[in-house]
Amino acid sequence: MSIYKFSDRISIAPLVVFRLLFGALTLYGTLRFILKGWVNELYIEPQFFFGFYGLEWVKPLSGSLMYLPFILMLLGSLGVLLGYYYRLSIVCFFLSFTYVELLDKTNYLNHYYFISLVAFLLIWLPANASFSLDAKLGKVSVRKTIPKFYIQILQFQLACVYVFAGIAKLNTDWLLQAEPLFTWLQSHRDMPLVGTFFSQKWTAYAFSWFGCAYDLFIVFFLLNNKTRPFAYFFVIAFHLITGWLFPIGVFPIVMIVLTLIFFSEDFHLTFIDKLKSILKYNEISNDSSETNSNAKRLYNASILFVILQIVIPFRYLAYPGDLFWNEEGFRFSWRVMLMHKEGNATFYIRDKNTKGEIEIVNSRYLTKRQEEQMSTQPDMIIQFAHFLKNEFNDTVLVINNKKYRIENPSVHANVFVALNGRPSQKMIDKKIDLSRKEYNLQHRAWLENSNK
Amino acid sequence: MKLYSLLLILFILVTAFSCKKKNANEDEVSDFKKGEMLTHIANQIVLPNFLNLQNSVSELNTSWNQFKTVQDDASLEELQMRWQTAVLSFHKVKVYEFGPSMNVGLRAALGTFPTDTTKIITNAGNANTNLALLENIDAIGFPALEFIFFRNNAKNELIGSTQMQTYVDNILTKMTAEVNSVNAAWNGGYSATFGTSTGTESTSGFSQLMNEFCKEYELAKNAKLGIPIGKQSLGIPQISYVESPYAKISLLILKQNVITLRDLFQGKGANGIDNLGMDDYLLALEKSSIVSTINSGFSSILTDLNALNDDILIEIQNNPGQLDALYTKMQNLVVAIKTDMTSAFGILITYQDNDGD
Repeated sequence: MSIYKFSDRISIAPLVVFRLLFGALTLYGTLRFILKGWVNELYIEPQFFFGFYGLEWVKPLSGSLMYLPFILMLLGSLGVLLGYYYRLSIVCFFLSFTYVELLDKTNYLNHYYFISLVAFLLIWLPANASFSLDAKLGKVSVRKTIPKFYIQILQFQLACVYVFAGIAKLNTDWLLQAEPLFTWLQSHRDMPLVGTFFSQKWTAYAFSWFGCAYDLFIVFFLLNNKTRPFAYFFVIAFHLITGWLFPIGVFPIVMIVLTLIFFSEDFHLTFIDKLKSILKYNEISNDSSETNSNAKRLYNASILFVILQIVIPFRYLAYPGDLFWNEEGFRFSWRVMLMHKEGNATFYIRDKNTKGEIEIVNSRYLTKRQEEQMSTQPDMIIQFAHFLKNEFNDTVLVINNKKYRIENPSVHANVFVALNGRPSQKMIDKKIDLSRKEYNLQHRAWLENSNK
Repeated sequence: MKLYSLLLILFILVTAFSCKKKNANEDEVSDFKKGEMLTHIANQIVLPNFLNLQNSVSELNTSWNQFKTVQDDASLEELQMRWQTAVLSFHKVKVYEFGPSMNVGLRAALGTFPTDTTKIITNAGNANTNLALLENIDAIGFPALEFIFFRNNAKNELIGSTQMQTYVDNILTKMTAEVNSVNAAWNGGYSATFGTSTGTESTSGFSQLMNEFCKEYELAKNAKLGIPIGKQSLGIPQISYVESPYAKISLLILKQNVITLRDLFQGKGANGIDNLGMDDYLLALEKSSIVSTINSGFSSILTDLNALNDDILIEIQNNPGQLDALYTKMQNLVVAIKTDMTSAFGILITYQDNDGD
């Protein structure tokens, strides 16, 4: 094995193709998001937002102003696609997209996190140095080659999604109970021809084991020249099937398309040349390679990035207890399609003066999606409890024309959760005053244990 | 190499495990089809009950016209009786608030309570009142008729006010048109659509049925019992929120709601014959413990309701403890219905992108 040299170079074509595809996908994804009315539903309608720990100061813009970051996303995507004011465009896309994702963890998806990370990486890469408006207009000097690690860092990012998703599947629920796939697949039991197939236990076992092996090993088959075509066939088949069976929106297309980064430079060169001839595009390459010191700096920074990406998914090891139940260190770890969790959380405000109790109707404060997510995730339960404390603290209630002053009430909840096909179990006991439980990243020892 | 061997070990383990667990009724798992259940529900439960509602509203119209001709105690009593039959018929179909009912907004149009008595009197005095306006939703439907037919001195109030008689005419005309249109839609093809709408997306007939089932149960628990007995108001009863304060059948209506949901769960047709229901789906998934929890929950709730007076106001006075116990039972059943049952079915609540985490 030869020692890796950051000075190894490769054609810029794979990076340019990646830029085109990423720009086109985010443009489509953002348009779809707006046209489905989700800006309104997810970011304008809710009264309360579940911010991320330490980032709760990230707040939505008021009313229709929330469309602003989405317009910036559209402009950014378009700029990336055309390679026009590329650096400004990708920074603009990264910031507006990440801002929106940080507003409410209700809407957290691993694939959104993936898009944020890729956009971040693209900020630093010269993806507009060929076949772009910037190059055509002479805003940047045209390049034929780039350091090899520019492509490898993108391959690494995709590999993370697959490999960590595979490692996450190495658990007893997935492998020995075929859950949650059995629950999900059997719900397709009425499909013509294949319905009976999906309702069988063994089908769920086959899907679970195949899915796990696929996630763990597909990257290695994609890296190998000989196995790549065969591996890519599996990539397409896998994502089309999951896209057909599960409500995962644009992500199957995103993964199918961006996985092309594993293909050879010749493949990408041919692709670009075809596009160039169709569009009658030509550019004069003066191949002014960037200074070595710049590449060196990026190389060092990318090592740090890689280390962080490998460490973050394993941070759950720092917590005791059942990861799926407690969800401590669960997000940002590529745990995709891993759990079927459903819960019911009933909150109570207790007033010390009257010794009375108020049962909360969650839907008065939360959207259906927020309530769904909150009911199974302990950190969100605490956030909502603190919100309720604020709502009721120091307020006057008028009941049957009489006034009752509520001061410093306690907040309690009865929470039951059903995880991966098991019967529901109590997660939080009503005795606990949630308003006194701090919202932090420490282990929550006061949660009830789950029994397998 | 290490991963391959790990995988191999796990594979051997799972094979051994699944062999051990195999049993005789393994084959039944695949037999149940949601489409067959939905078709049964449409044909044997929904259609006959909407027909029943249409007929009882028509009889209510007849007895109202009869009252206008012969304005005596006997025809008022007949009218009150027809109102009660019709309102209970309505509560047998209120849960199906999707498709045709949702298009009309049947649940709100016929059943919004508490009714605004001041608004009813004002509206009756104004010939231009538009009952279709959202602001009039609490001055129409069965609760408004209840106030007009059952309030103190109802007969003389009606005889003395032709305006109020016209207002009743208008309410009944609107209700009749709405009920007839929903019934016609179910008969005219929607039941077939519903029977094949078995997908997992939140807009499928199956998902909508399950969502409305849960919603109807929680509505019954909260609006008809929890709020009146003070569950949302520091334990202080709020009698102004009671459902049927004039006819005094609040708990009878609640009982009808519970029976409707139980029968739907069990797939019991209007003819009393038990066929495919949610319980059969759960059994096909080998979740018999959920079935017995839900069945015993329903029957225990109904036992309690049978022992109570039809009028919740009397029980708030006399038996607050029993109402509280009933509420706890209803609350406990929420988890079995909303969490255990829907999670076993793998139903999606929202239609947005999801990666299942």
